[in-house]
Amino acid sequence: MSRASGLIVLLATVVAWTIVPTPDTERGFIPIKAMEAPLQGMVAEETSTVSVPIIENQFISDTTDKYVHAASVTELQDGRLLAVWVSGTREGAGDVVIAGANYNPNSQLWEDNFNLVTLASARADLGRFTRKLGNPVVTTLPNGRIMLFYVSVSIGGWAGSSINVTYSDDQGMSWSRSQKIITSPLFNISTLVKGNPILFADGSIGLPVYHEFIGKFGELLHIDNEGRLLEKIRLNYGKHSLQPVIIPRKSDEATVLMRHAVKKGEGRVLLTQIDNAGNVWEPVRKTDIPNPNSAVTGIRIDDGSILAVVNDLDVYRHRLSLYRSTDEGENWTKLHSFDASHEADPEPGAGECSKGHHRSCVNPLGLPIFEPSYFAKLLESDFLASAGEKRVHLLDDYLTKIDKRHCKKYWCRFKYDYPYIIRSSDGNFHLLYSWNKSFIKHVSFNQAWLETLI
Amino acid sequence: MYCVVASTAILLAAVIYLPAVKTLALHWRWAIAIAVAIIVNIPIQGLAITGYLRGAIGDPSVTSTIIVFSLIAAHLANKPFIDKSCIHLLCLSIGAVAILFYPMALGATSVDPYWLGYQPQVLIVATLIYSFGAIIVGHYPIALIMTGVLIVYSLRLLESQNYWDYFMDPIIAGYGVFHLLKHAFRLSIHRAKKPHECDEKTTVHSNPKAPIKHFN
Repeated sequence: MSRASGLIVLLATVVAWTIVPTPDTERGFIPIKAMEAPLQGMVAEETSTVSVPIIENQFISDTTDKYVHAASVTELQDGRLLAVWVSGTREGAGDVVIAGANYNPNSQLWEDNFNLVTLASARADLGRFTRKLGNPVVTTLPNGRIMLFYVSVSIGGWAGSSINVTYSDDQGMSWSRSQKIITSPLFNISTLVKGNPILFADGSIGLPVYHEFIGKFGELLHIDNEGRLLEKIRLNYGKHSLQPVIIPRKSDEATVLMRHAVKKGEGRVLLTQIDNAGNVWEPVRKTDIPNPNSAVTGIRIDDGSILAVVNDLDVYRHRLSLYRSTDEGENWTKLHSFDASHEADPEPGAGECSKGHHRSCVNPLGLPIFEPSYFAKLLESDFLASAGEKRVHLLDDYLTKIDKRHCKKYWCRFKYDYPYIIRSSDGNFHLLYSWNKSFIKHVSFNQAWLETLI
Repeated sequence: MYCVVASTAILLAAVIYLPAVKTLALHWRWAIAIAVAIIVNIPIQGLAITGYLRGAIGDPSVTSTIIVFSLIAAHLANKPFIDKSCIHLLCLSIGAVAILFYPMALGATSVDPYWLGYQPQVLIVATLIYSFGAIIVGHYPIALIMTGVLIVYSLRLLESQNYWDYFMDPIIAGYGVFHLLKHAFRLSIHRAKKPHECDEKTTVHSNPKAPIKHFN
């Protein structure tokens, strides 16, 4: 009996051993320009012809009463963009879907919205109870396959999140069945996505994720182009860093920016450096950019410097700004604010904010807040400046739907957050973010516009 | 397929080990087992009961599934297939690993042992050594369960690509940790009592003329 048992287990061991995946130690980051221009060549060749500074805004989402958030975008093989985001009656509601829209580069307009994943389709695909959907992230592989990663929760809050993947080989016309990616040994809970995926030279994907349960820290998933998880590397540990954004520098080095999950007023954008295996070779440290516990995004530009889009505030998210660093994140220069809250009056910090005394004021934490009717006037002017020609007709309807997305009790505030930036093959930059949780706003700008700021 | 079988087994075990069912005649137990296996897989609003269980706990490990199957088989055939002491020892072993593994894997340290499960050569060798150890002490079923783990991992029948998920899951780990702590608690109680007994003996020896008490 002992001999037979020994032989059986030995045989099984040999079989298991022979099919253990061997990691590709030669994998390297694909430079960021090529990564965002899957098939249409390098960016620099085309950008050199552009000389007129251009910056344009428009809304992507086309609903007025939905909570919309957490946008991501990728360039498709045919040059169109595909944006994805969550949309529903409120965050975590049962009717939240992963919505999408395509941007036509010829008309330079976003087309009608559609649903990519619903709760029902996720349940059916995954074969398990699913209670809510969360952050999506989308990317295009060099072979044209579009990979969509999205968060779902079966039990509990966001700490119970796990990641799913689905892909399309026909420019988003049809999608594979969603698969669950198992990333945690404890009921596979507590892994979320937010940052831009990166591509490796061997065709695999590096997906920055974060863990949010007992600790809050970043991780890098190494995934093949079928969505199978090959490896998971911990970028750091502890309770204070979230939503890593990886910005490759060379084939074997990258700078990482992270959201700082600390008390109000104490946050700074976090910085570290990793190699192409995900090994952190510099301790995580604070930059000098304030971070009110909100998501950041970043991208490398032609001259090798890094752009970052952040809420550069101590509290709340009422300003979204563009920063540049020429020394891998050590020092930053502010270039521009894409959106910023109106100043409160009569004067910031004057007394308590009490209903009826002010049409606006600055609350004790420093947030400009506005009485609803005054807020509506300001919102109207902001809407007209942001919506673009295709969504401007939504204004009247939208203004009748000022609700808890904007206001709490008697006061309303502006909020611009969850930025996500890519560069398309024509050299333009595409920044998406949540505009007052009501619309996904697209800001596109070119290298010439950027150069006017540098 | 694995997930459906494993989830069905867990629900089946939960039902047939209910006190009311446990004491029924063998043919009734079989009838209930078949009925439960069917019912838990009937989709209700697009999702079967096994799908709800899967949403809550994911895919059970191969170790758990084999143990649950052995418990079900023991109950439906009226004879144990795997000796209880083997199951107990296996659970304690998993519990011992889990005490360090889960806190580290969830971010208590910079080292993530879960990472080992993606290129699990080390874990496979550890499984082999553990299996041979079990064979040496006569616990053959443990070696066979480990063989099951290795085979299912080779076939990648779980959603997970990580060897740890084939070897253990939080339920069997929790069971193991609970019994490990119970043993540790008993041991500490036992040790705490010992010095007291020694004191009594010392007292008796120090006073040899003391009258001997007889208990009736």
